[in-house]
Amino acid sequence: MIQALKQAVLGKGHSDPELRQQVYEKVSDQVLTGDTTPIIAPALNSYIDKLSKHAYKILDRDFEALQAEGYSEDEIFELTIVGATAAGVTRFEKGLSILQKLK
Amino acid sequence: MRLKILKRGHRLLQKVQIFFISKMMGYTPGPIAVLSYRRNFFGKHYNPWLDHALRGAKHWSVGEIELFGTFVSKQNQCQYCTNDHHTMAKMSLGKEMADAVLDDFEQSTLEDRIKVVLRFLQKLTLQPHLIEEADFLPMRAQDISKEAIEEVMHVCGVFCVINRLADAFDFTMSPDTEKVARFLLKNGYAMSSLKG
Repeated sequence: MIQALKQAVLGKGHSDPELRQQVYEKVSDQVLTGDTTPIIAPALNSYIDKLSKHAYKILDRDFEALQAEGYSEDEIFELTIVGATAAGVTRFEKGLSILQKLK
Repeated sequence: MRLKILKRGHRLLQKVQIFFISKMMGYTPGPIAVLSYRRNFFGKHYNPWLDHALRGAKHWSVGEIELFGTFVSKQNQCQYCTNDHHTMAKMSLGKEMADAVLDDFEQSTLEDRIKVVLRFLQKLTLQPHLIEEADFLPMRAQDISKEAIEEVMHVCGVFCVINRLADAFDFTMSPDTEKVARFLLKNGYAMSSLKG
């Protein structure tokens, strides 16, 4: 179920699969280590940081900045989905890995 | 909704269903719009996880699961999800218990077995990098089984996804949370990703 979700959001899409992989890993890193590695594209990096750490601070102008950099609505949709999925799935997987070792 | 494709990009049969849902609920629920748009990319796969987490638990009541969902949403400061799930928790468990997770739950009359779960969920939501074995032990000391702990982690997982989507895409707030809550308590979440 969760693996199918990960495969879907990192699989076929409108946006660059490598970029989606980078977004997934960036958010996963933040969940696992509290730190993140920057993505090359600055507007996307700033947006994904917000999405990962405090999504309630996202504003219209964050979307406008992405569109000004040439991202289409479908690309923004996908990259947002990937980042949010990484935030939820990585928390669950980290918890599960510890739980499975508990006596 | 910040993206036009989430308002007008659905397939024809989805648009028909969304029209009737909007008539019934007084608005288009953001989760349905997002989980239905290009559903093979996300909604078709996320929806089973959501339904499993929120209606598939065997060790917690629906009200307790909604209480945990409210709490995770509150930690993420997602107003949209907090409102709707708080209403469901209130309808299931009563106002005092539901309100306890919106404020300082440590000072509330919630049972200890609920409080230890809330402490764990708070850390998994806000400081996941610091989660360690010791964070699980208070729950085990309350005789909460490993299966029951896994169930609450599913709740944290699905809400950490949908809270971000609600805030990023700017879901329209529910005009009548009680109507939404009654619908979801009766029908669950299995139909959140519309086929078409």
